[in-house]
Amino acid sequence: MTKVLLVDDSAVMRKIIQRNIKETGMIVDEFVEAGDGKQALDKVNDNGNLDLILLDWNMPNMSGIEFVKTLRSLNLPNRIPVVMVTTEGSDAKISEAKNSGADGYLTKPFTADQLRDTLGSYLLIK
Amino acid sequence: MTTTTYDDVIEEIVSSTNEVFSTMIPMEISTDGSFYQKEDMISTDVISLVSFTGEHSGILAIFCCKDIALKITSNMLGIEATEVDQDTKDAMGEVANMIGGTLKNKIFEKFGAMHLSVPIVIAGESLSIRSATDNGKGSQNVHVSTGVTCNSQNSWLMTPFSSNGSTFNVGFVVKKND
Repeated sequence: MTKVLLVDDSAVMRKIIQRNIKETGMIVDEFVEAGDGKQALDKVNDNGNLDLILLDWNMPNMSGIEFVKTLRSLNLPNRIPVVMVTTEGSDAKISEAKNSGADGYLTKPFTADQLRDTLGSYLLIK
Repeated sequence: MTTTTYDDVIEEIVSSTNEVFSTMIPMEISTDGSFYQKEDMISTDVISLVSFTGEHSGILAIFCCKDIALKITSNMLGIEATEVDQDTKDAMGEVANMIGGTLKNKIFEKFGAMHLSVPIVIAGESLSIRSATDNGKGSQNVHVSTGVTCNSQNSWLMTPFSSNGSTFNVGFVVKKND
């Protein structure tokens, strides 16, 4: 069973990502949603078997970069892959994210093909 | 604060807007030139904006009527949006966020690194906007009020986009921090 955590303060963006994942044939059995980094930490604690986290950068309460730093500091036994999905697209931001523990990076706006290409390393495709 | 001319970002505003509308919405749009408008002349139904701070401070905002906001929401979500509700505000905020983020990356060399705020969306009738600067320390306060006439001298670079006979404006104002 594949479970993906979507972290974005925009509920609309969470819906768009879900729809694109389904339409491009990637297999996800359950989506878990969080509106900021703090909520995402709670979801990680409540859902021990997450397969992937898709993470926005700019969010209220706790940003995506703060979340991924905190997540990696927990040294969880199963390392959950994190892919940033954000409007932050500079080389400096991408480096900062990867140095902080993010595994992949996708800049908004994106096409369905770009989403599939980025997530294809983490999710099965029909 | 000193006023900066920003005619040279029109191309980036157009390309950033086109990228967002062609991928995430999707919706055919066209544009034909830009103009400057005093902000006390702006009157609209929906304003969605993000602000920039850094060496320069600025705002990117979308000004549109309810019909366009509903059309954008419908296309983004694959539903038929019939009233301006939380989904509409969320969708319009995300559009401003994506255009602002894309633009920020494109104008980095001209304006330096800038931090992008989370989006703000206001919906109502005959909305106006006032972008007031503080003492030049780098932050920019944004006031959006209904029917309030303001005395700001700020002019917005407005780029109108059309879709099926309806028009919305992408506005941009920026100043270099002294």
